[in-house]
Amino acid sequence: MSDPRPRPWAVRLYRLLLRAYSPGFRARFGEQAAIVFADRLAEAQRGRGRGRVRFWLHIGRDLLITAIPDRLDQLGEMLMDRRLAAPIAALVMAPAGLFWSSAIALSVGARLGLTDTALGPMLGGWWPALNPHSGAFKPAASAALLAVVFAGPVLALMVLAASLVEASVSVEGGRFRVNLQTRWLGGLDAALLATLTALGACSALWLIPHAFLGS
Amino acid sequence: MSTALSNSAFHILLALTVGERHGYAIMKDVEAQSEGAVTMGPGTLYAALKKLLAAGLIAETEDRPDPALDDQRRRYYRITPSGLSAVRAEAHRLSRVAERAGARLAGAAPAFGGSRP
Repeated sequence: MSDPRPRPWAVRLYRLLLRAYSPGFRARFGEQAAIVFADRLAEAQRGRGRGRVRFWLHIGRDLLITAIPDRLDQLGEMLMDRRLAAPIAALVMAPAGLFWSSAIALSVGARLGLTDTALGPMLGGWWPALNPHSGAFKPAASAALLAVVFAGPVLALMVLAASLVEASVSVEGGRFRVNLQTRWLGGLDAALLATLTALGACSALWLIPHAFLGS
Repeated sequence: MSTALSNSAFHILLALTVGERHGYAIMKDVEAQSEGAVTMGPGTLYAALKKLLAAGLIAETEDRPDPALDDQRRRYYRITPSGLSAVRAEAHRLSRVAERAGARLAGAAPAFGGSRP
């Protein structure tokens, strides 16, 4: 008769495999999962070789189908954490920042009559299509530029808005209830958001009349 | 209208309707009540328990087992009134589904050689 006690190496291996889960899951359920694993292993060891193979295949599949969603949940929670809201907003704003700078340069250049000299080499073949004063001006190209310029700040604001609302679902009396709880920005987050918003607003106010309307 | 519980959540809640249980006992009960159709690994079990705890359908009990009888590290779970309502609603829904399936199958044509509607 085989020894029904779980092999220590197998439990140690399972504890190692538990690292596939998020630290939060491991802290709360890791020990319990290891105990249940030991129980299951003892049960499998009472069977023959094929049962043991099936057991390990089952454990492998179990790890795969639960560790990946757990890690994705963890990633989602991190992204929803307001401490990350400002860095995410800054990241989203970074590509748009290039366009804001270009727009300001374009506006200044248009005012000083230096646009073609300053921005021509930078925008290359795109510049005639974007320059309202050129014969090859294409409104669609300008609209696309504006869309790109505004997409960054809009996305950043959406991320920030999402990070300020904490949603949870509970079941009461057999009915699901969605609970929404708002959170407030920290001082640093608020200052960064205000700066980025002010920069975006000033650039837009500068860009539209000076560069695109030719006033 | 309430949302249907997942298969594993339903079976776990059903296992807890008879009293407080730890993880392995829940797992064994689920296997028995589903006639072996639902077998969960430790990851599936605790992922489901995590969701049920977050939804307030179950709660962890403060009691610890007698060290002479069981491993003191084990955590026990109990069903909450919300969990009981949810599992009752789901059992009712499933029974209606089974009734409809039974009625439909009773009037079904044989798989081979039957006429098409």
